[in-house]
Amino acid sequence: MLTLDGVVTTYGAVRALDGVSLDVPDGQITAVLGANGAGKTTLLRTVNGLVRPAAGSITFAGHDLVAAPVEQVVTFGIAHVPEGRGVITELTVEENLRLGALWRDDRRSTTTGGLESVYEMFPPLAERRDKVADTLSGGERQMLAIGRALMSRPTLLLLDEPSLGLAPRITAQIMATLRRLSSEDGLTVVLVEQNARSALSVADTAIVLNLGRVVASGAADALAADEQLRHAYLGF
Amino acid sequence: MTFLNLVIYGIANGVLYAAVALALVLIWRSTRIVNFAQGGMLMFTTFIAWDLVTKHGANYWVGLVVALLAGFVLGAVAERVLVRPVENGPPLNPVIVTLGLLLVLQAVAGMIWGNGLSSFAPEFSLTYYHAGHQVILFSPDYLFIVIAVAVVLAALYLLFQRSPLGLRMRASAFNPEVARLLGVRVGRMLTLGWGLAAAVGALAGVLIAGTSPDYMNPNAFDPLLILGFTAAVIGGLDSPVGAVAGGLSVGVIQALLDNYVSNELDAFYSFVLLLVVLMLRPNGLFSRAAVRRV
Repeated sequence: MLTLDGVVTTYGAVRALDGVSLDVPDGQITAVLGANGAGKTTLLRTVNGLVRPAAGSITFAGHDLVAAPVEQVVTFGIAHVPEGRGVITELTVEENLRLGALWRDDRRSTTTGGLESVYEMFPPLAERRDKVADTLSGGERQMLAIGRALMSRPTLLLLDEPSLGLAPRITAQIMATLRRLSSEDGLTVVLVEQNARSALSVADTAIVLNLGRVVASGAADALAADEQLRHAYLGF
Repeated sequence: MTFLNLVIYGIANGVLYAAVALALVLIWRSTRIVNFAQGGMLMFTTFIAWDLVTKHGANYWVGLVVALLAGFVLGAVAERVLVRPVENGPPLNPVIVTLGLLLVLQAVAGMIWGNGLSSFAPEFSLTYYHAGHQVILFSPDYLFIVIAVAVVLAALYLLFQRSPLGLRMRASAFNPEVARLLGVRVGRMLTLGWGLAAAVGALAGVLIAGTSPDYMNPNAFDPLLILGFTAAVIGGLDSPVGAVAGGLSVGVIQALLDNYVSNELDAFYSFVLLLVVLMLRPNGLFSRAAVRRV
């Protein structure tokens, strides 16, 4: 379980996260919702160590994430799909994928299986495996970023705005993939989204951030049914 | 025949500029720093090899290997100790640091080995080949130079394109943050990159020192850095293939100008070439037109 307790993250005088406490249950999809600037991206960057909190604690499966170097976080089973997809555009599709599994000592015996299962999940990537990632469409880049994260065989997947800039049909495909990974493989997912409607359609639970504070949390369908909350924070 | 001869001669010299250009490109690509100390580093490591071979009777090959190792260590230490602390500051800071290191290395070399001229005899003959009565501007020493640089280029290609370590190094260069998220120790990759680059430079230093008598002097390697830098800029600073092509071009252009115009204007040519390239194609002749999109 990923647990945040009283996490405060500041950029100079700005408190991007202002005492966030959160339990992410194993094997579920937890959506993190909120407007631009609510602190959603900062939340993920604080979890994986790219930004260090000023106060509070973050633990995952017995590991103290506040003290761990960024490079080590992936070895705890946490994979991150950064905002803007974070595909390395100068490398080929297959190189990007291989990079995801490089930290694993057992990759030699299993990489082929890992690559093949990603190609099976995202057939467009298989067709373009030797192409430079720069040539991919937005949807394909998102597939590549998720596929690369899965190559590290994570137990916790952090996604930052996977629907950003994608056509609704592609977004629905990505969401369905996440749902399947969670239901069938028991993957824990933290899904940061501005697109609250599609995030709530696949999430089990959700929290709503506003100006760095958790203003609502609960079951996804309960939040989706709360008209007042939707109008105030979620914009639909 | 003269023209062909000049092209051969230009290529033989050009591989050395290519090696220096490659050393600059490897560092620019990963840390966005032009390593002006490269000239000083390769001078220093060449002096170490020269000292071993001529003063302590060591085998030429031992000297060469020691120079490469010393170059690797010098590059890695420079990155770790001098460059790392200023890397995230204003872009001018690393420039000043590498220029400072260049001056320190030249001064220290002068203190240890003096500022006179000495010779570093090459392992292979400098006598030109003949085809019948026709002299070919190519010697066994140049043959060795071309082969040595080609072997190093092939090894680097295999390292970067075919090995997991090379994949880590490229990922660190292109997108350090994503690389760290994927578990790559980016800092270590940068140190390794500087070490490798300096080792390539060290090879060029030892090789060029043998091409003419009385070459060894703490300031004698400056033109090599300037020509290597010109070659790197022609290649676009970002592309290892461009660096090699740039190096060969500079070598050939220099050989032609030396013969058909005047051979006393070497430094002048390289600066003019640099200016022309920067004015016409600021991104280099071999750069891809695409701007990086994330």
